[in-house]
Amino acid sequence: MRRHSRARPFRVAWLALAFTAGAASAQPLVPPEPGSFTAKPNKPRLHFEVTVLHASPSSGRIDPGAERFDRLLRDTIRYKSLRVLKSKDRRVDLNEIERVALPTGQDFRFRPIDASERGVLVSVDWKKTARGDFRLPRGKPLILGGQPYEDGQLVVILEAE
Amino acid sequence: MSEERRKAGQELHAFRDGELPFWKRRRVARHLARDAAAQREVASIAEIGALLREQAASLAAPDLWAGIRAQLPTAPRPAPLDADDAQPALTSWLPGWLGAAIATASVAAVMASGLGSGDAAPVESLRWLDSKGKPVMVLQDDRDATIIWVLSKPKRTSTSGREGGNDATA
Repeated sequence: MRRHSRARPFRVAWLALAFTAGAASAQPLVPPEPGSFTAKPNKPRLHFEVTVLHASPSSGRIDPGAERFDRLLRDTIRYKSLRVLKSKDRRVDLNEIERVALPTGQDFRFRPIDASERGVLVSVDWKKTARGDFRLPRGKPLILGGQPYEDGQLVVILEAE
Repeated sequence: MSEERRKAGQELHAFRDGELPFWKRRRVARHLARDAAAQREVASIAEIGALLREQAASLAAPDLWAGIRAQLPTAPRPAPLDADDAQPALTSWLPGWLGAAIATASVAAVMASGLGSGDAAPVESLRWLDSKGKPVMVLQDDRDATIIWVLSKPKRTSTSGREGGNDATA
């Protein structure tokens, strides 16, 4: 009986030590480095470039940033000047909606729905103008135009990188 | 109760379509994380949307024009308007050869090309397009670019000033 009462504090001390050791092993002392094996994997983000142009019948110049699009447009659309109003790089997750404010005050919205080796399937909504789904291979621009702006028209170009 | 359910349903639709403001979106997202029924509801909304889209894309548009034209009465063509009375042409932006080729009543263009095709990567980007009642032209859809032009009436504004240079460039 006497022996039992002497052993009891030791047993309690051992239990406390074991509990502390268990708790310490459950929580790493050093937080995981970003990119390490235990870190949460980063979501792959899709890279888009949105360019807003103003095509005008007034004589003017072709902005250097618009020359590539001028080569694509000049045979099909009539204009005398082509200005870059806005150029944005956007990194977007799948099913994330991205907005680009246009000079008209409206939003150009797009949402990548699917990505594969054939390109990115994107849902596009240009308020009061058009909406639709497009599969964009890398480097192939989607050029949407026709909304009146100032003396000309707005052109919105969406490219998946 | 049913009104509440209807509102909740509308909110989930708006959430799915990304139309909610930030704070409301967060609230719905938190609710979704807790409520399995709401999660199922959102999943079914997405499923129905995908199904409708698939059906719309797979519908072959029948060419009814020949039949319609056969039933139309023949009438003399009205005299052209004077140049002063003429409305601004929607196609003034397009070169003459292209403007002449426009079919004006393309409310919604659905292109099934590229859907369900074989292994070869389709060249066309356009899956479906809704121009909200306006005439629209797919000017190009090949390897180089997809060019889509919505034909809107030009604005008639008294101010003819233009912004200078690249002021709006971000």
